[in-house]
Amino acid sequence: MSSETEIRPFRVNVPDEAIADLRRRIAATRWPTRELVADRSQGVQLATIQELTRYWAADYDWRSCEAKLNVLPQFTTEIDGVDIHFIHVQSRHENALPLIITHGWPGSVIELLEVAGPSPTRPRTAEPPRTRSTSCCRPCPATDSPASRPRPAGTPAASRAPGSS
Amino acid sequence: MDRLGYTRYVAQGGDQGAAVTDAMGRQAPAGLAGIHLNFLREALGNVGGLPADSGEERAALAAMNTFRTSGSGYFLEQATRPQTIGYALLDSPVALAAWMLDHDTDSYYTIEQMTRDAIAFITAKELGEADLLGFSIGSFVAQQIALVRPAIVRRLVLASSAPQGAAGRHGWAPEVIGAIGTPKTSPAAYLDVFSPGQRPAAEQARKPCGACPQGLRTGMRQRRGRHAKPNMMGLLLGDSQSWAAPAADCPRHAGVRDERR
Repeated sequence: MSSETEIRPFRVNVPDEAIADLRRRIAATRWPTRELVADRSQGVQLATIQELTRYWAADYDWRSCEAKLNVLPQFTTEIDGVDIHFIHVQSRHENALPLIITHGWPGSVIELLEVAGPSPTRPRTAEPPRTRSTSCCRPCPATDSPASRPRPAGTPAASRAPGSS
Repeated sequence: MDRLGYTRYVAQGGDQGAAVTDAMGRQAPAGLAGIHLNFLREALGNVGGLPADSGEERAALAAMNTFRTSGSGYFLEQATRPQTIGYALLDSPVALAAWMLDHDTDSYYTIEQMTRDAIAFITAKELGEADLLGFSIGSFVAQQIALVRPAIVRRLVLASSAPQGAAGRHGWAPEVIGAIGTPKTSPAAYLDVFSPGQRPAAEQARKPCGACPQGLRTGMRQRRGRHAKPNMMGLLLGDSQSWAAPAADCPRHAGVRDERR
C-alpha cells in the first residue's frame, strides 16, 4: 500500500496554546459599525455576533466537544491530494450493509454524531444499528481544520491522485 | 469505500454532501447499491420547472426562491472564489463564526423552527398558559404550538388561517385563494412577492398604487434606504408610515382617499 492510499488513525487534540490564541484573536477583533437596518437583511447583526463570540471566548467548552469526537474511531486518508478526515464506525453485525454519509459545507461531522452512534467498543444501551456506518468529511477548500488541510500550495492536485507517486 | 474494503454499500448525503452523493449515483461505481438524499441540489437550478400544486410544494418553492434571492451569497462565494474567502475565515474567528451563522440563514425559518422559538419564548417568560393569536403564517405556527404543547395554550385565535398538516387539507381552500389571489401560482408570482425587481421592465415602469402591496414595498424601500428589503411582517401589520396615496387608476382602491395630514 502506497503512503497515499494509507488510512491513518486520527484523534482531535487541539493544543492549549491554540485555544488561548483563539481567545486572543476574538478579543482583538476590530468590529465594523452596526448594520443600517433593524433586521437580519444585511447579514449577521452586530449584537448577535458580539454575543456569540463573547460566549465562544468565555463559556464554550471545546474539550467536551473534542471528547465527543474522540469517542469515535477517526481516520484520515489522502484523496486527490487532500487529506480527508472521516469517522468509521463498524456494526457488530457480520453482514450489515455499509453506509457512507457525506455532510455539507458549511457543516461538519459533528452534525452526524448522533447518527454515527457510540463506538462499538463501548457498552451500548440503544438498539445496535443494522448497518455499518461511515461518516465522511468532505474537504473544505481553504479551511484549516487539522484533518482537512490541503497539500502545500503549488502541489498540483492532479499529480497527487491516488495511486500515483 | 474501496479503500476501506467495502464491496457493496449505500450512500447518503445532505446539502453539499447531497451533491457529492448525487454525483456518486450518476457515476455508479461498482458496489454502490443505492443513494439517499435529503437535499435535491438539482432542483435549485430548475425552480421554474418545479410543481406548485399543493401547499407543501408552494411552501418549498417559496423557500427556494428566498434562498436564491437573499440566502445564497455564501454559496456563490464558496463555489466561485473559495480561496479568497478562505483567508478571512481562517485568520479571523469572528469572520468564521459570522459565515457559519449567516449561511443559508433564511431557509431555516420553518414552521417547526418558529414553533420551537415561540414555545421557548413562552416558557422563558414563565407565562404558563398563553392566549395565542396566529395571523397568516403565524396561524400555522399557532396551530403547531397547540398540537405539540397544548398545555401552554389557554385560548387559540386564528386569523387569515387554514388547516395545516393533514394530507389534502393543507393550505387555503381553492375558494379562498380564488378570492384573494390566483388559484394556481407560478414561480414568477413567487419571485414577484420576494423580489419585485425581477418583474418585467414594462410592468416596473408603471407607477405603483401606493395602497397596493407593491406600492407599499416600494415606499418602504425608499424610506429605509436602498439596502433595505421589503419587510413582509411590517407590511402585513400595517407599516402606515410607508403608505403612499392610492393611484387614481387602481382598480382595487377606486374611491379610496389618503386622508393623512
